[in-house]
Amino acid sequence: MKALFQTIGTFTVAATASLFCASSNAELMVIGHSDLASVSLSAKEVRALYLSKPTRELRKEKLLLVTPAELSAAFDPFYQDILHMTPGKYQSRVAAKVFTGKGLATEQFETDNDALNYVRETEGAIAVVDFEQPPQGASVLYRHSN
Amino acid sequence: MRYTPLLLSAIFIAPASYAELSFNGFLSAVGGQALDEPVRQYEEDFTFTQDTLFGLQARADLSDKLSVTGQIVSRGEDDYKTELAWGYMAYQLNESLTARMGRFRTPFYSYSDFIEVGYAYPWIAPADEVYALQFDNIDGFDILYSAPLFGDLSVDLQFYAGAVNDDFELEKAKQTLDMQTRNHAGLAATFYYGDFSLRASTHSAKLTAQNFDSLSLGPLTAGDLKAQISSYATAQTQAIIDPVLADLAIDELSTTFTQVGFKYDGEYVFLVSELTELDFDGGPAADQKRMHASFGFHWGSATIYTSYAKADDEAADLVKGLDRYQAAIPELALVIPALEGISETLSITSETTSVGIRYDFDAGAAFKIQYDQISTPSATSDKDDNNGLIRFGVDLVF
Repeated sequence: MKALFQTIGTFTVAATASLFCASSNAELMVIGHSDLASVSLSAKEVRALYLSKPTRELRKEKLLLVTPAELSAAFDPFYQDILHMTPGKYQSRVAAKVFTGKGLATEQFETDNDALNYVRETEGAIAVVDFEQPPQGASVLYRHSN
Repeated sequence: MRYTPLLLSAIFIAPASYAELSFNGFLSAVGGQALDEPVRQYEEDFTFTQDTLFGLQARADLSDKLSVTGQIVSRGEDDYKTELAWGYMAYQLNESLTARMGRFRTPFYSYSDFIEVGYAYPWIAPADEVYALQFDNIDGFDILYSAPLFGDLSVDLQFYAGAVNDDFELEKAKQTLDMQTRNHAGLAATFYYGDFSLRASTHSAKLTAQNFDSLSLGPLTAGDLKAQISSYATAQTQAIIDPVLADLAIDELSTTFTQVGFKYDGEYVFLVSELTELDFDGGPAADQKRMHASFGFHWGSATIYTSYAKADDEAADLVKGLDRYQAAIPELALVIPALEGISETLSITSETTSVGIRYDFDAGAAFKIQYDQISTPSATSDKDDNNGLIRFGVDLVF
C-alpha cells in the first residue's frame, strides 16, 4: 500500500511539474507571413495594429489579422494584457470598422496550428498564437513575456 | 441612386478568379414600451418594430486597391422593406488615401458611420435629440485620409461632396417632407491618441423641401397660408409681408451643420460627448443647438452607463411683426397662430436621461436594456411632461 501511495505521489508531482513546465515554456507570439520578416513590434504596437492603427511600416501592407483561438493559451493574455479589453468589446470595435467598409473582419481559427498554416500560406497575414518555440515558416513579430 | 444596384450586382457577378468576396451581417432585435404617453414612436403597449433591423454587407476586393462594398438593410419601422443603405466602390490611392464613389454614410456625427450597427455601441440607439438629421446616406464621392502624426497621435480626415434625396419625418406633425440637398459638402477630422479621440466636422448644403406647401396644420396648409398672407399685401404692409412669405418656404436654403465630439473608451470606463449646431439662413426651421454626454463602466462582459441628451431649439420667428397689423387686418387672428404653429412644429425642446446595461453574452452577441426619462414642455402647464420609455433587445454581428 505504501508503495502504491509513493507511486501515486511521484506521478502527481511529475504530472504537475510537467504541466507547469509546459505552461511556462509556451508563450504568446504574434507571427506574420514570411514577407513581414523585417517587422518587429512592441506590445503597444500590437494593440494599435489590432485596433486598426498599424505602424507606418505595416501601413504599406494589406493586412489580414487573426485573433487567438478560443482554446489557445494566448486567448486570455491577448485580451487582458495586450488589448486591455474583453473579447466582446474588441469585437464591437471591429464591427465599427467592418460595417463602414473601412476595415476587414478578423479571422479566428480553431487551433494555433490552423492559424499558423494560414499565416504561412497568406501574404499579409498576422496571427496571435501560443507556441513553445518560434514556428518554422513564419516570422515572429512580437513575443510576450509574462 | 441609379448606379448603386449596379455596384451591388458587380459584387455578386464578379468572377471568383478576380474578386475576393466577404459577407458580414448585423441584427438588432429591440422591443419597447412607453410607460406614460406614446413617445418616439413607441406605444403604451409593447411593440418590437421601431428599432429592429437586419443588415447584410457584401464586399468584393477586385484587386489590392479596388473594392466594391454594398449594404442592404431591412428596418422594422419601414415594415421590413429592404433598402440598399449604401454601396460604393473604393480605390486606395496610396497607404493613406482612399477615394470612394457611390452611396455612403453622411459623416455628420461620431457614430454616423455605423449608426445602424447596434453591436458597435453600448446604447440601444444613439441619443435621439442629437442624432436627429435623417439624411443618413449621401450619393457622391469622398476622400479618406488616415495617417499617424507623431508619437501615438493619428488622424482620420474625410472630405465629401454629393447630394441627398430623402424623406424627412416631422415627428410632431406626423408628416413627411420630401427633402433634397444640393451643393452638399463637408469635412470631418478625427484625432486619436490612445483610447482618446476628438472629432470635429462641418457641413454645408442648399436645402429644399419639395412639398413644403402641403405641410398642413389644422385647417390650413403652408401653401394656403402663403396665399392668404399674400392677399393682405398693400402698399403699407408689403414691406413686412415679403419677408414673412420668404420664410414660408424651404427652397435652396443655405444650411450649415457643425459637430464636435469627444470620446474616451478605456479598460474600465468610457465617456462620450457630442455637441452639434444646425443653422439655416432664413426659412421656417429652428436653429438647433444640441448635446449629449454618456458615461459608463466596463465590468467584465457588462457595460453599465448613464446618458443625458438635450435639444433646446431656437424656433424661427415667422410672424416678424405682422401682429402689429392685427387691428387693420382681422383675419390675421387666424394666420398668426398658424405661423407660430409651423415654427413650433419645426423645433424641438426635449431632455432625455437614460440608464442602461449592455451584456456581451456570446461571441458577437450583446443583450441590452435601457430606460429613458424624456422631458418635454407641457402644452397645458408650466411644468414639463415626463415620459418613461423602456427598451431591451439583442444586437448581433456575424
